[in-house]
Amino acid sequence: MYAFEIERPTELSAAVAALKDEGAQALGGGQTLIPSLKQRLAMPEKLVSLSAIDEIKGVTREGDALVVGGGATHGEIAAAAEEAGFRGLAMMARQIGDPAVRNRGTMGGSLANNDPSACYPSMALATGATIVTDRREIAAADFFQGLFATALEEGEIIVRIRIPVPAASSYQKFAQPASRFPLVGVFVARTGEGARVAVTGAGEDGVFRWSEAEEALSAGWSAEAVAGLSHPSEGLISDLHGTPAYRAHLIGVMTRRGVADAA
Amino acid sequence: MPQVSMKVNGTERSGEIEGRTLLVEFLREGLKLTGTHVGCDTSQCGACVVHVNGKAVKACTMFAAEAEGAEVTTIEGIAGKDGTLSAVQQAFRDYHGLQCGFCTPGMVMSATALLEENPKPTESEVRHYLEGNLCRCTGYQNIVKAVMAASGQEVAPVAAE
Amino acid sequence: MPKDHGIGASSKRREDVRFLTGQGQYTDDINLAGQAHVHFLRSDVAHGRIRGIDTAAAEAMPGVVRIFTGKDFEGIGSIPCGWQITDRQGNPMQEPAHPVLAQGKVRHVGDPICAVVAESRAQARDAAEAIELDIEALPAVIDMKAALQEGAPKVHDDLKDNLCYDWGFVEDNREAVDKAIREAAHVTTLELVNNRLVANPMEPRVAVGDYASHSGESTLYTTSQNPHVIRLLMGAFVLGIPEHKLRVVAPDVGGGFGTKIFHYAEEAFCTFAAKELRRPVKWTSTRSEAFMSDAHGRDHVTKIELALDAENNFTALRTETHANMGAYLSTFAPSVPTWLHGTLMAGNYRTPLIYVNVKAVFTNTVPVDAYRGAGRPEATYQLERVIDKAARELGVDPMELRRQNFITEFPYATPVAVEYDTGDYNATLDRLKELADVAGFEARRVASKAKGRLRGFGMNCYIEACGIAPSNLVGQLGARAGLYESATVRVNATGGLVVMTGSHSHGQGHETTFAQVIAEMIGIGEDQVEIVHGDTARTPMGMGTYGSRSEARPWSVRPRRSSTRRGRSRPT
Ligand SMILES: Cc1cc2nc3c(=O)[nH]c(=O)nc-3n(C[C@H](O)[C@H](O)[C@H](O)COP(=O)(O)OP(=O)(O)OC[C@H]3O[C@@H](n4cnc5c(N)ncnc54)[C@H](O)[C@@H]3O)c2cc1C
Ligand code: FES
Ligand code: FES
Repeated sequence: MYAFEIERPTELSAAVAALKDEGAQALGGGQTLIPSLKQRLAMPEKLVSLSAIDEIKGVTREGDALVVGGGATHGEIAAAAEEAGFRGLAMMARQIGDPAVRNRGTMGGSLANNDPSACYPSMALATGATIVTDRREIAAADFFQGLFATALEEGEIIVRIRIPVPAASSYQKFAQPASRFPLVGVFVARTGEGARVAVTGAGEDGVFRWSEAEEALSAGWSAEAVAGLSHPSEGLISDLHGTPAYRAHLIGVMTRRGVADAA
Repeated sequence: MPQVSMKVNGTERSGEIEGRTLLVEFLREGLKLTGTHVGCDTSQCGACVVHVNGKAVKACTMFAAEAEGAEVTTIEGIAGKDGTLSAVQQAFRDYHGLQCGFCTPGMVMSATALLEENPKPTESEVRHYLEGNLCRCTGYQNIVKAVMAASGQEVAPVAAE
Repeated sequence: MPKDHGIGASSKRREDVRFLTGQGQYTDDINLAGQAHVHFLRSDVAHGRIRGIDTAAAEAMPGVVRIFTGKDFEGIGSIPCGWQITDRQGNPMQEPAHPVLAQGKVRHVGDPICAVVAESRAQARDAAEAIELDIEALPAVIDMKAALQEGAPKVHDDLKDNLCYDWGFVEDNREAVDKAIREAAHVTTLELVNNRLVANPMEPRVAVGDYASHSGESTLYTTSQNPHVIRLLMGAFVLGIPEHKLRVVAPDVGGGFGTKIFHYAEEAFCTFAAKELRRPVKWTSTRSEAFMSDAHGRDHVTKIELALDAENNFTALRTETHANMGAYLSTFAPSVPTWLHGTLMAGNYRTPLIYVNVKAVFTNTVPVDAYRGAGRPEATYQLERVIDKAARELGVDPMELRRQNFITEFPYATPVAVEYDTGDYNATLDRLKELADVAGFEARRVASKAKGRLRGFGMNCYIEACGIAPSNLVGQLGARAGLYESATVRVNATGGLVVMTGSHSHGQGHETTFAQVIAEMIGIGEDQVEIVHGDTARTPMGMGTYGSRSEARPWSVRPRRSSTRRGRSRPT
């Protein structure tokens, strides 16, 4: 790690102010940022830790939506989603990393990072979540902008995420055995606006929706409805762990499993 | 240099740190509590697990500065003051849940956290909870047995008996 | 009644209490007063010519003590190889120099170029980034067969080619084997890749060098399976420190899996720099660095042919293996695909003619050396796979094909130099069939299929050679040091025994098991026996722990000596 200072404000406004400094960067749970600092892939002059700011923590229910603090940890989210009967999110959060990672890592950090293999972006996209920052609200559809790229401006902090709870949902993760990140993860949701299928881990441009499956499922929510569908392998990631064709196949399998699970 | 203060194994401790000082570095180098180990630089092995405010965290993936005012428990704080092993420690010994001992502190800290959250886990819950703790020697079988035994559940005896 | 002490008792391990309470003492737990830290700047190209190294800016960075390069090691010994193989023509293998820090060329990703010593680890790494390297990348050769082609890039310019050795075993059998294969009723051929892997013990490697000006004594604390071997190789061959001026300590070791047997550049560097700088120097590897700096395992590509007569009796076996040595010869590397491998090719079977050919090859990759079983699992894997394939080709039961070819009369002299004294493979196979309920397998397979699951059945036999000894035999096979073991038993004036052994635990629990044996032999309580290991200053001689030798070698020393109560034991 290169040398830097750490600040630990207790108010959101102080954090926003601190992030205006040249070379300042937000620190959420650190579960992605710290390993990358160790590899010297980032060179901040100052880290502004968000871990002492109460107003971005916690998970609450507001009508039909679950409102997750940008600083809520995966562990808290799993428990709250379980209690709210939000199956897909509960499944997702309790499978991220391991307990120690889940005790520190946050949804705000994960969305801001937008790793092409991160779990939450698929959930945010499928549910039509709204990302609320210190200055505006951004629809999930506009938020993700390719690999590690988001609509966030310099120094913008994710304060909370408003997630309409779908009528039924499931998250199916096919874990890469070493990193346990999804090799392919599929979030399926039955929402007021129809069926949604969002895929992570597979797209060269990051998370995406599989519209063909959505159409089929909107006509009738059943595993049979998507049984005959296969996702094309164009535009899918090719790496050591899997070819595009392999990932395309997994998208089909995971989607069918998800639909069966959320029936 | 900035200062940090925290309660470690029940005692107030403080020391100088840099911004980039990790909690594990502060414990090992600053406080000479070398029971917490470092096995990787990618936050994957769990050799460094400690409890911060009662929760298991990877001390290699948290800055010392962030533990300001926290209650930290390390492997050195698990046995009784008179040296009596905790139920988890004793079960690891009884069920041969360790060989070289390098992963062991992290395993014990994770297992202890598990049993606090879930006093009677199933075997699959134990395996799931310990996913972030790698052991190269034992093959996990006896570790899982040890955790089941520590929770007071029936376990098949170890092979040697 | 199970015994409650001594041999055969299920004693609780005495070392566990310290490991479970965080009181273990691993090398990284050692911090000496005044210690500096080293960071190695490593090559990020597989092959390159060093045109220039500019350390001026780095030297001005905060905390930097000194920056070392290959120049500082001119006139210092090369990291030695501990085993010499003689090739088919009777010539010694080609053996390249292996400098502590790269000189002239870098030969694999991770080859250390500069060593930056600074007040802290972070400062050393910060400064390493400020070093300006001018390295001309050269074409690299990674694939073994490509490395042997005419005109392939040469890993070592001063060697004839990239062939370390071409070994034939038993060379005198070659023609007879060829003929038997030509004339066989059936020949099964199989090509196998035994992939390279990284050993990855949970504890990364660490070295701390220290120097006492008043006595001229150097001390190295290191994560080693065999501190005495390090003392010998580093003292005698690299740094020229006499045995009585060099102490090597390996405290608790967090797993080894073979990769902590070998003598490494970082150990020699820390010992050397501590004397140069008159202060302790410490290196702690990161996990990522370990992938480039710890010797890898396996990496064999093999063609194996099994010849059978019309009655399915094995008549001959021929193998051709390409074994990757990496860019330099690590401590025991040449022995792994040869003596530790070829001698096991008979397996449990009566194959009258066997010929093993091994081509060891230099490539621009991290050196490869012994890893878990070292050559022996590779032998079993090849042999058992080819038998399975033959059974499938011939349409016979793989178990029965094995049974038909089992050695049944003992002692049995194999055509690959070793003699089996005893065995009953039929009895073992019968028991296996019973335990695995082979008869019931088909029903289980059908039941699984009904649930949409596939169920398979695999089995194999193996013979393992453990211990790697005695000294006079391994000496004839090319070992450059005896593979003896020693123990000293000291009776304290106040009662109780101290046993000092050169065998060294990295998780095996020697302190418990050795005490059990001694207690039983001498007839005292286990708790009156203290086992000391891992420190060359306390145990004069030893060769450490690897190759499953700690039971076979030291135990055969200890009971004999202790029953005579003579105290000192001699190497065997
Ligand atoms: C062993 C391991 C396994 C993992 N497995 C998975 C997995 O299976 N699936 C998965 O999805 N993830 C996985 N992760 C990643 C984990 O979920 C991280 O917690 C998450 O990606 C980042 O969240 P964080 O709070 O830790 O953010 P940090 O690491 O602190 O920050 C990440 C980035 O987000 C920025 N940031 C942080 N918080 C905010 C905020 N509130 N507003 C704006 N910007 C912010 C930071 O500046 C930084 O750029 C794993 C991590 C580890 C170590
Ligand atoms: S040291 Fe490996 S996870 Fe912390
Ligand atoms: S006991 Fe050696 S790594 Fe677990």
